[in-house]
Amino acid sequence: MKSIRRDHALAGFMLLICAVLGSSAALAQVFEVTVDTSALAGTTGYVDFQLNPADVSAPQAGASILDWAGNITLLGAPMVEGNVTGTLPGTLQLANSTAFNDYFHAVEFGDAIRFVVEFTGNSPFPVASVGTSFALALYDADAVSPLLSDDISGSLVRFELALGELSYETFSPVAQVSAVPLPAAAWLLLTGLTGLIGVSRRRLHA
Amino acid sequence: MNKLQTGTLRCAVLSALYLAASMAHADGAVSISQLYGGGGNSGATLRNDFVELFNRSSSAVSLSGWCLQYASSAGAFTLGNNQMTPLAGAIPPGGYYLVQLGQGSGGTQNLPSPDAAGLTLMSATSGKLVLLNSCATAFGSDEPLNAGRVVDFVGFGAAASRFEGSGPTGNLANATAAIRAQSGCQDSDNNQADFAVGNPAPRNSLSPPAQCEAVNAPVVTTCPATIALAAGAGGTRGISARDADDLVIAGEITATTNPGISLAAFVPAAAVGGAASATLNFASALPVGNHSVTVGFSNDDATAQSASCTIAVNVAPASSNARIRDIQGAAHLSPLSGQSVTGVPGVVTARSSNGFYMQDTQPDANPATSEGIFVFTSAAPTVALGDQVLVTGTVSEFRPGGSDGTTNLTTTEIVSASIIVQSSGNALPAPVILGAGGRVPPSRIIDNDAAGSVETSGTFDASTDGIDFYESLEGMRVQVNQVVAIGPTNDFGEIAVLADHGEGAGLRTVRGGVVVRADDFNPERIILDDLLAPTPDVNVGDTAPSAIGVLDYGFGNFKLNVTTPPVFAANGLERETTELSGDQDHVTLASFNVENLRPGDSAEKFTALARQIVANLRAPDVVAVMEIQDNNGASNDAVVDASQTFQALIAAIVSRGGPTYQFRQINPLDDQDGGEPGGNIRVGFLFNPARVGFIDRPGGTATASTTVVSGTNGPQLSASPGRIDPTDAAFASSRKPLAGEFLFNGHPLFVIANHFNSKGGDQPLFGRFQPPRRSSEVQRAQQASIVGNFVRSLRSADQNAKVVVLGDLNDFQFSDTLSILKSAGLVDLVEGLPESERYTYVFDGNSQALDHIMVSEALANAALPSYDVVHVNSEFADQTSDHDPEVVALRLPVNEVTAQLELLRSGLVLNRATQLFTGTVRVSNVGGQTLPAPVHLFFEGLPAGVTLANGSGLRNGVPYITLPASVYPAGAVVQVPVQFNNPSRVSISYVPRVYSGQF
Repeated sequence: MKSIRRDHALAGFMLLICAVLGSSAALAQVFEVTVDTSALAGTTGYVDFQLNPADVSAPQAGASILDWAGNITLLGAPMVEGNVTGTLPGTLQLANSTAFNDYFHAVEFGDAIRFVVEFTGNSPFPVASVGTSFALALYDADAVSPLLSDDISGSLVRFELALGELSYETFSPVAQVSAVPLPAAAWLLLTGLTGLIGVSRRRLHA
Repeated sequence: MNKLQTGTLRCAVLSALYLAASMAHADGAVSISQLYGGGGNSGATLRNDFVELFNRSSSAVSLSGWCLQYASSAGAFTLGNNQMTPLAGAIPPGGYYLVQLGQGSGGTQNLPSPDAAGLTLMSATSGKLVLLNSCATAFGSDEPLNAGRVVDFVGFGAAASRFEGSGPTGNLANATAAIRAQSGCQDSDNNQADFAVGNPAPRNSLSPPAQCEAVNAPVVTTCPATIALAAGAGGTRGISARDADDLVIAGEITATTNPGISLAAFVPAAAVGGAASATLNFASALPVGNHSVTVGFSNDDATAQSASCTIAVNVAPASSNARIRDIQGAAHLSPLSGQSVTGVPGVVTARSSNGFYMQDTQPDANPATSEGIFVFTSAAPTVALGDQVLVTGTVSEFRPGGSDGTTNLTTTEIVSASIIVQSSGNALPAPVILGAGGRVPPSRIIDNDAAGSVETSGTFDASTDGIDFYESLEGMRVQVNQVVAIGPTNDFGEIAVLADHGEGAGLRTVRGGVVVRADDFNPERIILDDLLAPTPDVNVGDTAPSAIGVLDYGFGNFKLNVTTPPVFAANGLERETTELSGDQDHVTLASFNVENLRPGDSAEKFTALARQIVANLRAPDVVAVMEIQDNNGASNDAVVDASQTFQALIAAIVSRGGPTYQFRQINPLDDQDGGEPGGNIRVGFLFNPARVGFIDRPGGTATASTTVVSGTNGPQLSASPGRIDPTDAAFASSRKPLAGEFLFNGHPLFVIANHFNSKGGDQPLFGRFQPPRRSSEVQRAQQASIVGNFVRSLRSADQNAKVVVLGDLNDFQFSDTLSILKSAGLVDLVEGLPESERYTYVFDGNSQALDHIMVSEALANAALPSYDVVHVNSEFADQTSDHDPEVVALRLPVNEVTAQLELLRSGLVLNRATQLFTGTVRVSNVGGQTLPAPVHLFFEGLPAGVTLANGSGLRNGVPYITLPASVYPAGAVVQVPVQFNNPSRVSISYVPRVYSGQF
């Protein structure tokens, strides 16, 4: 795996001159994401999960949000678009079968958000030039102003699934990503496989 | 003396008319003054038809033996059927005479007492009457109206088959008569004019007489205009004079140029109107030459009338000392030049404003010696076609063009000529046929033996050398059959043609012309000229059954001065349209000499040029133009700017649906670049900015030279546009080359527009000096060397430099000029055409390539040039320019490097603030090679409704992002942010492609 990590938002281009390394190492597919939202505590806004392909020819991929935690209060029902199932705080599953797969839920922010995300797909992710991105963004109560990020996408955290790779970037110091080591991931993985089966069955029925 | 009464009718016109009438008939004193055919018809008052006669003279006229004869309008005269009425008695001076004719059943009044009566029933509307003084036979249908027995003739009514003058009288009716005007006095021998239609008013011998105004007829001489005599022979000629109403009683010589001419044996007229005769005697000693004599005659009038005649007396030498062929000789200069010749015989074959051509009707067997010659008379000649003449004068060689014509051949003439016309109306000598069945012109050699002047060196070979061949026909009648035009009619009315449909001629073009080759400038061309008879406007390929004229020489060419306008049939030549056009991968460049274009030119010229550029050339991406004049054209002042000229052309192109070209050029210094004085012609570029880019680099001026310098991405020009070595002596009084940097699909193109010095000053093909010296080539060679060295500089900096050298190079593909350019690594594209298609210009019928597009070898090898000369002008009488444009299409696709890259497209995340789907494309150079910058990422095939929000531009409708880094070494990775507008949130599929090169 090659991971490109950025600790702050970048604007414009970044040119890296480096060796392109062949990578066939086993991929960590389960990550814990934490966001320090203390600066937002007591305010209302939205959490936004997207799992979108570059286009729908991208290899099949999915993301499951597990173990939703943190002192954040979900408000009302989410707004959902595309291939999304489940509702926080329960397991939330997104798949990249359509161009725009979005989960948008009103919240009252507390000090932190913490969750585990597990990626599934044709494992490991096939070598393909058409990738898929998973992103977490926080929005203000106006539903259009990104919070804590000045990335052009508005995201705080963004995972890229492509070319047999899984990499991530964070766009704010308040966001932290850490891979969940095996075997701690085994239990989560089991849960994720269940989700994957669900996705697959839906596709079979489609 | 026989004076008529003077009285009531005083009309000068009438006098003249009477005179004419009196001369027209045996006895003009009596005429039919009124006629009526409706007598007794329905509606008539009078019971009878009648004819009234009138004697206008001052003497009684006896009608003894006279008669009236009548015929129907279309019928013949006969003596039977009461068609003839005998007359008797006499008519007193000014008296009338009434002839009563047939009676009808109607009417209420009788005629006044008739003086004669007959039974003829005339038509009430139309018929014919003749008054004869001799009536033994019926008036014949072919008998002239002025036959001796005819006193008067009247055709009445429109149907009358015969009548005097321009027509019969008006149509008559039952109650109308034809009445001679002026109480019967008017007789102009024109029934239509002399008679009016009116109520019948018959007059008889008892009616009051009328009087017509008197006329005094003049003395009329009968003399020959010219009397031709042989020297030493002498001779006599009779002459005479008469007066219709007097006696000619005296005659004498009043003037003569020589006392050897005298008048004898004068015999006065024996009766009024009779002839007085005399004899002119010419002494045998009368010298050779032209003389004249004037003889005057006078009559017996109280104040004597007189008349005279002047007779040209031409005394020919008893023998000739030279014939035309002796004068012409088998040479370009007459062996008798400067010598006197006498009695040179010939028949006049053509007349010009200052002389005539004559030709010997008894040629010898030597075709090398012409049988025709021009006789210079300074003023218009007095001889007529077909006159057999003897010419005495001095042999002279006339070199046309005066001091400017020193390279011309001479024509042999006889000057200071005295001309004896021996006879007239002779058949012209048969023309020499040029071609099949006659003398076939040499088809390749103009001259192959002279070293300098053909007049003083080489051999005269009329069978193999074109220049000697035509000389051997100088002044002769010549005919060309099955004529085909190989050049359009030019401004001088000249048409270059071939005989026999071009059979046996040099290399023909498919459109009818004939091309020049290094060893063949087509001496078989014959140039028709319009000095003696008009020539029509024709195009190349038009044909005529024949052309006939006399062979002349002028302006460096033998010319066939046609004596009969040739009748051409159009061959339907059409203006070409190129099949070449630009597209995504092809750029097109054209060269077009627009012939002294200026804002003051007609709208028609601008429109025609625009049509040719837009339609016939398919709007090339770049058009190098030559002969753009400054804003006030040939006004010779300090104006050098030509922006109005360019803008007018561009506007015309736009109005014809073409692109909005931009232009680049550099104003010359005033009056330093040759061409039409004051015009300041120059070369320039038009380019379509939607298709090609022009890289402007400042610094180009009239005198600053652009140079090749090293740039970031290879060689570039120090100034663009920029002139190449404009101050070098090679470009004195000539156009300076203009270099410009263009961009197409990322490829830099160096384009150099040229207009080399013209061929002016070169000696003519059919000039005095052989082989002709082409002095203009010296300067062109220098110009070619400079342009060639500039190309070398570009190719030294980049052996694959894409260079186009184009323009009016004023020289042939096989010339030294082009060889010099080729040696610099340029390929002359016209040489890729079949040899018969290598022409952009037609001069004197020679199709030739003066305009060229040359490309560097790199382009020739890689860009697959397609080249076309578009024949829209040179072959047509109606020309927009004298040059045809030419165009090349070069395949220069964009340089795609996608295969050398790995492209990774991330997923696209919607930013709810910007509503843009954002992500990245990761570009990794995995091909192992450094990519030439700049590099562009293209997004082909975006779905409907999706647009690239952060693109650098569009090319052919495809958005792209230019990657900013200047170098892409192997292994480099670039993350390219991408943002899309995608309001419908569809899947953003596209084909990413990466191209290298400057757009």
